[in-house]
Amino acid sequence: MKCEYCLEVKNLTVRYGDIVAIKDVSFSLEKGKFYTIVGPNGGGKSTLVKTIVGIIDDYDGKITIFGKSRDEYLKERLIGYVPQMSGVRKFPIRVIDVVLMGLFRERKFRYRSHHYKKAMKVLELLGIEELESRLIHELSGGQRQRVMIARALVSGPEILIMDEPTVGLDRESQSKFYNLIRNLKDSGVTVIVVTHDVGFVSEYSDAILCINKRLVVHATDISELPERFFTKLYGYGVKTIVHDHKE
Amino acid sequence: MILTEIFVYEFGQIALVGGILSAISTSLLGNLVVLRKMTFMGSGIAHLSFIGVGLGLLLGYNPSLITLAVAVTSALVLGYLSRKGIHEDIGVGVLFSTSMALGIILINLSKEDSSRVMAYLFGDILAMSWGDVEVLATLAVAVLVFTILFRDHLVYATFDEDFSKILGIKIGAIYYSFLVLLASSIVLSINMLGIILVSAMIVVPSASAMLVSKTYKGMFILSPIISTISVFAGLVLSWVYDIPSGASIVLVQGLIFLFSFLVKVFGK
Repeated sequence: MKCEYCLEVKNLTVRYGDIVAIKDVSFSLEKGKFYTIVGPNGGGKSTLVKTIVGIIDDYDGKITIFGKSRDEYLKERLIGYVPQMSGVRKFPIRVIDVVLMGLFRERKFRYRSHHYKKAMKVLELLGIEELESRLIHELSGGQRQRVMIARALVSGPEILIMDEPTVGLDRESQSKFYNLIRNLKDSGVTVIVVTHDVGFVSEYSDAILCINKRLVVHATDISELPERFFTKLYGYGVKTIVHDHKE
Repeated sequence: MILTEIFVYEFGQIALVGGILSAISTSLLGNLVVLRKMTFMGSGIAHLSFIGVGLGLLLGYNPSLITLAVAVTSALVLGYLSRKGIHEDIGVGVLFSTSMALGIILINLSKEDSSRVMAYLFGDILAMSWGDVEVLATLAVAVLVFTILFRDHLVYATFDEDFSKILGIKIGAIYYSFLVLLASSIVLSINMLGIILVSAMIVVPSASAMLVSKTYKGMFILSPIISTISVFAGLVLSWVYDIPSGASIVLVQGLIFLFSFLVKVFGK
């Protein structure tokens, strides 16, 4: 069955106790497009993506992925998820083992050589194969980010969601990151990025979702969102800057 | 004097086999304790089980069984508190002294001979029986199977809990099973090392292995080896110098940790 939408969210409400994180959010996303979610801190962006990928189970509303309910879809395959980059605490795990986590559901009791080959292939795709044996906490922010992207991609997801992936990345790492997203999109993966980088939004997104507890607007063109709109959304002046990352 | 003379005697053989079996269980579980940064937990469960010793002596039942029941219950309660946002070490910190105080009062009420109490506090590996070894062997097999099946589940949940949820790992049941095995290993090792020293069996070999091996996979190979060497060397030392066996084992573990630390600092 051909699905019009890869992800449909209807009347989604998530609460933390008495606090409403997001309320009555509805939208539909098409396959193979690049979407950006923007909004102020505490506006519910991370809650939204955590609910979609299966971290948060307690919600009201309906999430449909490729025509199946969220739980039904997640039983069959993973949504690629790259979490917000926080300070990685010291933990004795190698890069290759972090990437293998993404293949956990494919293994029986232990990882075999084909799992390692698959993980190495993704590391090569991201140009970090030489980091294979390094410990995760020894890496720079940009390198760690790519390892987390490798973990998200290794299972071959149809949807990839990244939560503020460019925070802490230098200009060169950001350029590589944008090129990667372009390649993923070209290969048919639906990419959803949560960001505060409004300039980045204008440059690369097919559509933008603005979230502040509720879905404020779902626009397909940045020009539909004047600067005064962002100012209203964030509560302070936001100037859109066009990035020059097309290398 | 032949250094291994102690193993000619049956009590020495029992101590060696029982000690190695205990070393395997405690060190494998100890890796998860160290990785989860809940190192106070081992000491806490041991001290909480002192209530069981007091109750057993007061009521006239076998203290070992009541101690096991108290330790398992305590571990599950601490685990539950932890999953509700109160870190294991905070729970242990609160209950640690209270349980010791209660144990002391119960023992005082029982009017029990102090030598029996001392055996629980400091242990006596040379007083173990083949029956004790059989129980330790059963536990070691259970811990081995658990480690083979669920090591990665617990490591992943420790490293990145959100991602482990995405993977569909049902961490609750596995975590509680781990705590039951941990509490059982601690109680069964109390016979050897006593309440005061038993937490060393959980923490020190894994901490040493972490310094040397760098990866969690290496820890699971190295820590049982370090712990086994400690038991062997500790028993030999205790025989040669006529010093307490439990203390000798822990001392060897401490020396291995110091050596591992020096290797890490100066070996680069």
